[in-house]
Amino acid sequence: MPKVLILLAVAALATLAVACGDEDGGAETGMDEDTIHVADAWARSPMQDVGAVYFDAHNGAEEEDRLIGVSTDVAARAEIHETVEQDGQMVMQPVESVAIPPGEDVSFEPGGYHIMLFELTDPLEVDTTIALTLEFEVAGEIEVQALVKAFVPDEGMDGGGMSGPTGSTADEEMG
Amino acid sequence: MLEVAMSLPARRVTVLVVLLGVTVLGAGCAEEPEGASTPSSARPAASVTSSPSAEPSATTDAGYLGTILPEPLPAGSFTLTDQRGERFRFPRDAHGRVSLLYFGYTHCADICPGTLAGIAVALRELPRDVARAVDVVFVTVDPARDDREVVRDWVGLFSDDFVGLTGTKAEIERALATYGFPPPETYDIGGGEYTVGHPAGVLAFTPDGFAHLEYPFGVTVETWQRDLTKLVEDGWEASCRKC
Repeated sequence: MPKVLILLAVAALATLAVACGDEDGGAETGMDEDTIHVADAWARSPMQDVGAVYFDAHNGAEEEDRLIGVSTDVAARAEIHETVEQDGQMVMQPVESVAIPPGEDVSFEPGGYHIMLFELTDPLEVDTTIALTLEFEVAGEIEVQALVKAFVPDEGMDGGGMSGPTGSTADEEMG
Repeated sequence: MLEVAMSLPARRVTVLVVLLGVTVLGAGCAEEPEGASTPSSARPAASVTSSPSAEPSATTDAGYLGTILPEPLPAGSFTLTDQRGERFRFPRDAHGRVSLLYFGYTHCADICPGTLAGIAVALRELPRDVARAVDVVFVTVDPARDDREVVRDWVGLFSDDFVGLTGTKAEIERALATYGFPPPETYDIGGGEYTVGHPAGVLAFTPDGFAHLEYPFGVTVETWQRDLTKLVEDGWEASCRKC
């Protein structure tokens, strides 16, 4: 693994470690409650030309909303996709929209709903963020910054391998 | 729809500046492994698990977390071209090895890389003698885009020890058919892009020449570590007399 990647991964993990300590559940406080809130956005890209973005969408309003579109400067195409089982096979397919029922959370996560990025302008760099604009039917456009994560966090961050607490970090990186 | 969305003037109804900071910071702190709630995979033959959860909540009689196949699946054999350009016959001809077999494709940005990454992390943290007794073999179902170089670069993202295989369409269909999988179906999504259907599960072949276990999408690193250690150290027969 090239040194640069190792450094990036270390930086990413350091960021995560700090983040987990600082979290304190402030995510949705102080916000305008009666609309869509998007949290925990992150992205991964296995190859130069495709990527996937995940997040949680909470609908604080009293009516249903729908994610109906997405745009970004980092890719030529950005689409709402869903991974589904179909005739015993896993298939990734575009969906027109995703309902966010009132008062509920909808997770965009590996193996389910996600944003697919095609024809990336540049390769996604681990530990940087990318900007996307999510378009909701009612709430309108919401800008999101997604943290680019590594698929496999590099080992040897402190020479001690990846056992112990970092195991949970490793878990998060799969999916 | 996409075009419409992109051409709309930017009317930001809600500006989540504060939240965005938290969003970025919180991104790595999920308590559940991502994807753990995904429906289980599998060919009809492997759909023994009635639970829709990808991660079995209880171990099997034999103490494995993977899904036990209703009928052991013979390892059979197929030959494809590995990332070095050499012919590779699956399963690798060696005693005492456990072989994990996964069919996917490199433009699958969602679950395929997540699956391989989970295995890579698990193996890296296991004792060397255990990890070295496990072959991880990825077979592309998208030979039109996944030539040897693409597959090489892709498996290299996860582990230098993984085997990445490609071949002709006919060769890959034969490999799939060896395990009862249908030929890959492609789905046009416009703009020259397409997605490809592929088996979701990872088959685990043991030295007795069978796969008894399948791992649906979403299994955790801990599951891999626990089951692979047991498979390598105990073997299937010793650990599963009553299965």
